[in-house]
Amino acid sequence: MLRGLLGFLLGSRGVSVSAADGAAAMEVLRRCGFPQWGMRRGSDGRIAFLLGRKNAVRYAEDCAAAGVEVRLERERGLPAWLMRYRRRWGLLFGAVLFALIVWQSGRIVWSVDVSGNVRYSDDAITEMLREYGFGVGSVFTHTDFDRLQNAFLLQAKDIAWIAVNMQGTVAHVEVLEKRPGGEGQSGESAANVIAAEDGQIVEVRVRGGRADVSVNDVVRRGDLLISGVIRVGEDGVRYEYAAGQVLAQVMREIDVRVPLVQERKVYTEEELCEKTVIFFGKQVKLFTKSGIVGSSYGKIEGRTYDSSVQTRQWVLPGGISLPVWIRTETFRPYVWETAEQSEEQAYAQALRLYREKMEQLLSEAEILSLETSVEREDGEVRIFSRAVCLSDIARTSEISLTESAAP
Amino acid sequence: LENRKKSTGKRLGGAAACVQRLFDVPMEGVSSLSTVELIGDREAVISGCLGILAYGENEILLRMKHGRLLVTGRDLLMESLTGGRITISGQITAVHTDGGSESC
Repeated sequence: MLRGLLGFLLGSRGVSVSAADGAAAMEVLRRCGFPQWGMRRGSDGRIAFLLGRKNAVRYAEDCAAAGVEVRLERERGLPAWLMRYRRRWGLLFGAVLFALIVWQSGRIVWSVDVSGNVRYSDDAITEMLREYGFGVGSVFTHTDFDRLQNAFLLQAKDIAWIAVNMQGTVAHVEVLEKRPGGEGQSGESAANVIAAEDGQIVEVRVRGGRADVSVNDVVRRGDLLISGVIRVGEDGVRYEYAAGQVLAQVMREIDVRVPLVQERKVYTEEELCEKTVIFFGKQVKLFTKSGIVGSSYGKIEGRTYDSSVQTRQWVLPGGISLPVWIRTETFRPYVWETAEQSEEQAYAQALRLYREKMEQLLSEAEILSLETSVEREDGEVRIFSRAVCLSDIARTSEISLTESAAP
Repeated sequence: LENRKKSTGKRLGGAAACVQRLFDVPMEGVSSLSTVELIGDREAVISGCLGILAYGENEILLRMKHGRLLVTGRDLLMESLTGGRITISGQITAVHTDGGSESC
C-alpha cells in the first residue's frame, strides 16, 4: 500500500518477462537490488512487476546484457501524468484555481450562529457585527476578535457580554443581554417612580423607595408616586432605586370613525419580482420575473407601489446551511380609487377596528366600566367608547446622582 | 496460525558453535547461515540467497551459502527480492535442501 503510494508519487514503470526467462530475470533483479513491487504472474505465464522509472531502464539494460528479453511498459504515476498534461494550461489553471478556492474558503466565514439573545434579533446582531467588518464572507483570519467584541459592546448598550468564536468556518456568537433596570438595581444609580397618566390611586405596592401618594389621591401625569430620595434625620438624604406598582383608575377612550366614501388601494398590474443572489455577503442581481435581465424598478418608476422582501437561505439535506441566500423583492403597483360603501359595510368595518382597539386596551388595563355609543354623522359611522380602567401608571424615572447630590 | 521452522546449513563454524553452546543464544545470532521462515504454507521468507537457479510456477530453486534450496508447491511467486532476502508466496508443499529435506 505504502510502496504503491510512493510508486505513484515518484512514478513507476511496468516490466514483464517470459516464464522461460523467469529465473534469469529474477537473478538479474536480485543482483541489481532495485526495489520492486506489484509482482504478479499473467495468464500467459509472464511475470510482471513494477520498478521505479529510472531503475526500470537500467534493469532492462542489465537484462539485455545478460541475454534476457524484457518488455517495458509505459510510465505510470504522477510524474508521467504531469508530463502528459504539461502543455494543457487550462488544467493547470483549473488546478491552481481549485487550490486557491479551497484555501480561501477555509479562511472566510460561511455562517454566523447567534445564541443567547432575547430582545435583539439574530439579524440585528449580525448586522451590527457586519458594521465592524465581520460577517458571512469576511476573512476571519484577519479579524481581531478582542477589538471586535469591545467595539460591539460600546455600540450595543443593551448587550452586557459578547463572545465570537470560530468553529471551522462557522462563527458562533454568544451574547448576554442586560436585564431591564438591572443597572439601576445594582446600586449605582437612583430613580423615582412617576405617574404615566392622570388617575385616581387605588393601590400602591412599593418594592423600593418610599410612597409619596396614598389611596384615593388624584394624580396628574408626571406627578411623583414613589420617591427614591429618602430623608434621613434632619439634613441627611439617602438615594434608592424606587420601584413598585401603582394601580389607579384611569379614563380611556376608543374612537373609531369609518367614512361611507373611502379612498381604496387597487393593485393595477401583475406583481414584479427581482431576484438577487447573496453569495458570501456579495449581492448579484439575477433576473426579473419577466425573464428580462435587469432591474424592474424602471417599469414602475413614477408610480406608487407596495414592496416586500423575502430572503431564503440555501440549506443542504441534513440541515447544513450554505452561505448563499436568494433575496426576492416583490413590487405591487397600485392606484387610489374612490369607493362608496353601504352603512352596514361601514358599520362592520368600524366594529372590526373597534374590536382590535378594545383588545389592545384590555391587554394593558382592566375595564371597570364602559359607555359605548354608535352613531352616523357627516357621512361616516362612528363608534365611541369611554372606559374607566384599572391600570398600573407607575413609570421609572432615573435620577442623575451627580446632579441630585449637588447642593 | 504461524508455524515457524528454521533450517540451518550443514555445520556451524567452530567459534560460533562454541559461543552458541556456551551462552545458549539463538543460532542465527552468532552464525551467518541461511534461514528459511515458513508462515503456514502460504509464504516463505528466505535469507542468505546467493542466486536464483530456476523459477517456475511449481518449483523455485535457489543457491544458498551452504548448498541449494528447492521450494515446491503451486502458484509460486517471488513477491520481493531485497538484497539476499526473498519472499515466496503461493501454496508451498515442501522445502528441500541439498543435505536433507523438510516438508510441510
